[in-house]
Amino acid sequence: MRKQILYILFILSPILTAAQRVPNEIENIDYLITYGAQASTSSGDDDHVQILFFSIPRSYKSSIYIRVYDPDTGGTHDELKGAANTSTRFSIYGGKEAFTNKEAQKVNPVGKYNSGNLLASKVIGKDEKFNANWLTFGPFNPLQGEESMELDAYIFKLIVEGLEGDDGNQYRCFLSEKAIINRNIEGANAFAYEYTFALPKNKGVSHIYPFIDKSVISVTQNNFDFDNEGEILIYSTVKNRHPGNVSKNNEWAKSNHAMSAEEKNTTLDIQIQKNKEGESAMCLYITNQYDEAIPFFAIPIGGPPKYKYDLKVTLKASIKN
Amino acid sequence: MRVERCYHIFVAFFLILVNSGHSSAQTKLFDQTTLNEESGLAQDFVYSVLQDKRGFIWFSTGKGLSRYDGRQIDNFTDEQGLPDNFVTASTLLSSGGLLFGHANGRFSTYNGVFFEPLLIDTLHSEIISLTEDGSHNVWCATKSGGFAKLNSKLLLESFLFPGELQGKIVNDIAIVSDQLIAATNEGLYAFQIAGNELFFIDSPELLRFKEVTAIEPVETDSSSYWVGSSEGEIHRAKIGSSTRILVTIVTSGIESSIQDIVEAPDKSLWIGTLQNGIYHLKIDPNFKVSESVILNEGTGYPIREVKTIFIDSQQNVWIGTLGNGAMEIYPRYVQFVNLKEWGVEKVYAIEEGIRDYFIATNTGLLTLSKDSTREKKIRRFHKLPNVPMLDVFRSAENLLWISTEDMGIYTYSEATDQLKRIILNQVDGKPLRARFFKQDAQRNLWISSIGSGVYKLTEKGVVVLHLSTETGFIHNDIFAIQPDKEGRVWFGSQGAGLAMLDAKDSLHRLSQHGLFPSHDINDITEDPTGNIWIATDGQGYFRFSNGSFENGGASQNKVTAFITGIAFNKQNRIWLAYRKGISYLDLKTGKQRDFTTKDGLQNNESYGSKIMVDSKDHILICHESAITILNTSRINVELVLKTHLTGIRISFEKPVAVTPSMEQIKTSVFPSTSLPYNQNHLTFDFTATALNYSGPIYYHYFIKEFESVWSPPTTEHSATYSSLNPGTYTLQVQATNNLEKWADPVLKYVFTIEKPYWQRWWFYLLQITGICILFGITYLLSRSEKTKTSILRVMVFTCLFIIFEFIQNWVEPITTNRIGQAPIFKSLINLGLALLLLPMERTFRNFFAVYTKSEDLE
Repeated sequence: MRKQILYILFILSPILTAAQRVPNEIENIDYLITYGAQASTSSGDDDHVQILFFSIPRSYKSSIYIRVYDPDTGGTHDELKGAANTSTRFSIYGGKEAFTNKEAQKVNPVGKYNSGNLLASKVIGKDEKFNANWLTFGPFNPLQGEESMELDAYIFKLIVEGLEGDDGNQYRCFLSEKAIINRNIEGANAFAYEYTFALPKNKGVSHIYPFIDKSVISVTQNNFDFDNEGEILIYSTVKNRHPGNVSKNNEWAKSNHAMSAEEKNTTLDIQIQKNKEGESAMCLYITNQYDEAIPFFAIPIGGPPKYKYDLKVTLKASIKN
Repeated sequence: MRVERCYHIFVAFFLILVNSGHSSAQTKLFDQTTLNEESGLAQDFVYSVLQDKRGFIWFSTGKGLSRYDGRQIDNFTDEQGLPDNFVTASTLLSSGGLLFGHANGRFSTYNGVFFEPLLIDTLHSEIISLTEDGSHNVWCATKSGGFAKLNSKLLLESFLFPGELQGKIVNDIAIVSDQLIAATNEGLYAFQIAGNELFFIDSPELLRFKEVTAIEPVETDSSSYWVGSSEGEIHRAKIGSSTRILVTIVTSGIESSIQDIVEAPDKSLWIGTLQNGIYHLKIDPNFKVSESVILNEGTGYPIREVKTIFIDSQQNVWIGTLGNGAMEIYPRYVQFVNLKEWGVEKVYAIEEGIRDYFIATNTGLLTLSKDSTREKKIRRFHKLPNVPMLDVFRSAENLLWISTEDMGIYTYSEATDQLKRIILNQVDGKPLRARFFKQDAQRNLWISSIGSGVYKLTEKGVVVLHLSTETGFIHNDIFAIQPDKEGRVWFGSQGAGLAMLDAKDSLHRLSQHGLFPSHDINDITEDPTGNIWIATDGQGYFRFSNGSFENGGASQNKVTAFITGIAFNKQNRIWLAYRKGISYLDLKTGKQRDFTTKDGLQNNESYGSKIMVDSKDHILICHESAITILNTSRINVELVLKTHLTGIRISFEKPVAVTPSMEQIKTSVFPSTSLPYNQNHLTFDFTATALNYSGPIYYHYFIKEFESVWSPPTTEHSATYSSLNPGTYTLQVQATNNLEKWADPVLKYVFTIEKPYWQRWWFYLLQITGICILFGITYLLSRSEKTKTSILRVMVFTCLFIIFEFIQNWVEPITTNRIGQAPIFKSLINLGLALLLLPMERTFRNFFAVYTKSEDLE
């Protein structure tokens, strides 16, 4: 039953927002960021690796492309520590265990996080050709992804690894049905178990949308290097501005939040409210009561949660009479 | 005044532009056929293409294998024995078998009958390339998991993963001389092959950290190879002590990742790109691109993401795409050149010049470039005004004779660029209007005029003969003239039929004297053996040979009876033109082939014109406002339909999996089989591969031991036989593309239906033995002598019956073969057997009578 609900919501979710940009507009995160291996974790990247998953509906039969905007380091959109010296490897995986391998679903890139068949890989350093431009992987046959009966989808995995250097490579991705333009694939989605992302330069609110399935009793939000720049608030159908702990520079912070029955099979909205100006990057992931990472989707499953106000109406005596 | 002047200048400038300009004819150099999921392909993602020894084209897709015979696709998946449906690489082994690589790192082979998985769980990465080296070892490259070397028996020799390649993606490999070259996402790597080991040699600096995507060994230079990169660069590399890049070819047109490079037999390169279709490049000796043709959506071909290219044995180019299926690319052999934009409403004639074709039209003379590899360029012939031209003819002296409607006759020399007017007037003094020209072996020119008969001019241009009705000729409007090798000249007219002027200038009115049946002649030609071929309007075509006419058209209903053009080409074929199309009759094989819209003919155009055959053996046809050029090089090899048995099914379903021998795999022979008596409901699947033929293929089949006549022709690819009696049979299947001519090779396949055990000799012997034992015991236990005698007699008779049945079963198939299955024959055979056995029975009876008597006496 849980799988069925997840599947129905999973299918329905892109109807609400048909876009496979990662991070999505609805998340209000402009760029993901991966720092070079020599960068200090105080920059906001705890492990220099970003893992994203793309799901393609099994009914989709045409080519797919995974596109990365501004994959180079240097030029625009990147956080440079002096002269650009960083190279980043973008690798696409599919096939058996690309997604289902438990180590691929962990927040720390240890063990076989790069499980599956390596389909394409490119290392990019400072490259004018890709500055503020798109790198396109594909075309891929949807069957090259790992077949997931649970999601009724083929899953592809993108691993972004910061190699040498200490700069921050800011980029975003798009799952497209065309090679040279971004065109949504109907019914597709993207998800991750951990985000390392650049916060908006100005004050603003970013969102993370984890899906809470039936088995989740409580969640723990873990954030790294938020630098006390604002608040982390949790919204759901029954939670309104539940505050979460906020990390300091180069530190982790976490807070546990119980999930009520009404919140099961719905999406949480974890809002990162940045109250200061300036460039900053942070890392965030959510775990359940078993310390297992919970995926959060570019397109929130079932749509962003709407708090249901519990209004108690009491009739005045005069009206009664 | 000033405005008027400007206007005149503008008009003059415009006319100059119009007259001096040229345009590209709306022609494509290549035709393509697309195979996709809609047409039966397993999937639209095609990773490799190969051709097996039987001529089938195999496509590797993400959902299994697809086999194409030219008109039908058969798909093979894990249900037929593939270890994985995702097939990513394939190769035809020198042993004749096929080897496939799968996305999950597994292999499978196909021996012509069934698939067999190989080396399960050997590799764990997608197999991207399979290459056989000179020692028949197969090198298998995976995307990110190293190499496997298989020996000639496809057993694993070694698994190799050089450190230089770890962490890299291998896109392609090639064996060049004794080196293994690997194209990776971070450069090109060369390894020395030493037995089961690979030793790193070099990675050329020029390509270091570049994504190298394709390698193709150079056919004519065993130490060189082509290299393609993801940035669209093509390099020519040569192996040495290090991998030296000798030449870089800059191909500015390629801006997309090169996915495959294939060198064609003519040394041109076919290059498949990831986002920009196909490039066909001709490379000059200095490694510069001398010619480039792009086949993509921009040039009218639905080709985008190309993964693989393959050139088959008939030079057809096959393309596997990622998401758009497979395509066959072949030189367009029917080119339709539309002349409407030149204001042409009537094309009268076409002639081949030295550099160009000359086209006589109602708007003047046009020229068309002959180069078949480029787009056809049309120009106006400036030396003559744009007036109607009735004919253009090239004489043996390379002089073009041009006939205008009202301005007389001109000659033009391409060599000297000189135009000359020929003064030749009709009786009324007006310039002669020549309908067409012909030249005889003595270089006399024969001119058929409009309304004033035929003129014969000597080589010097002197009129020596004028044939008209005034001088007793058959007609003043002659539509066909053919001087022959024997010095005769044949004339064809509409209404007055055929006439022949013999070498002594004596005229024979063949139609008028009833010697030739038709009175409407459209065209006449002569073949190299001296036969005269006559195209008629209503009675097909005729051949004049050994003094008699033989009808080859309407009476046999081969093509329409209204034939407008007839011509002979170098391939010993008679070409026929008629309103709906064109056909040829191959005189060697007797086969006829009709061309239709499926072959590229236009739907609404009439092909009813005379036929011109050029020096390259192209066939040219004039339409109202266009011309058709048929390139015969693609069809120069006569279609031979060799039928192959592709499978045998029992009761429509269960395939017979009989293992072929090495020799049978090599020669693509389906192995004979022997089936149990109860598996006698058989379906035979067969097909004849014909990749260059789009028309229908018919089959008929026959089992001599089972039936007396061949089956009716069918387009079905299978034959089912039920209730076959035990015995050995020979199935014969023959294919044809011409129902009137069954001349193609006959497939003969021998198979056996085994006898049931109760029909075997040993079982009869067992029965007799059993009966003897049984009766023997009974005999011994019996006390009465009379009973004993009776037992003996019953035993002997029972045994005789068994022998009788055995002989009957043994004889029956032989007699059926010899004298058919009529019941009367069977009865006669039984009677014969009974008569044979009767004396035996009598002998035994007498023996027992004597035996009983002697017993009684005792």
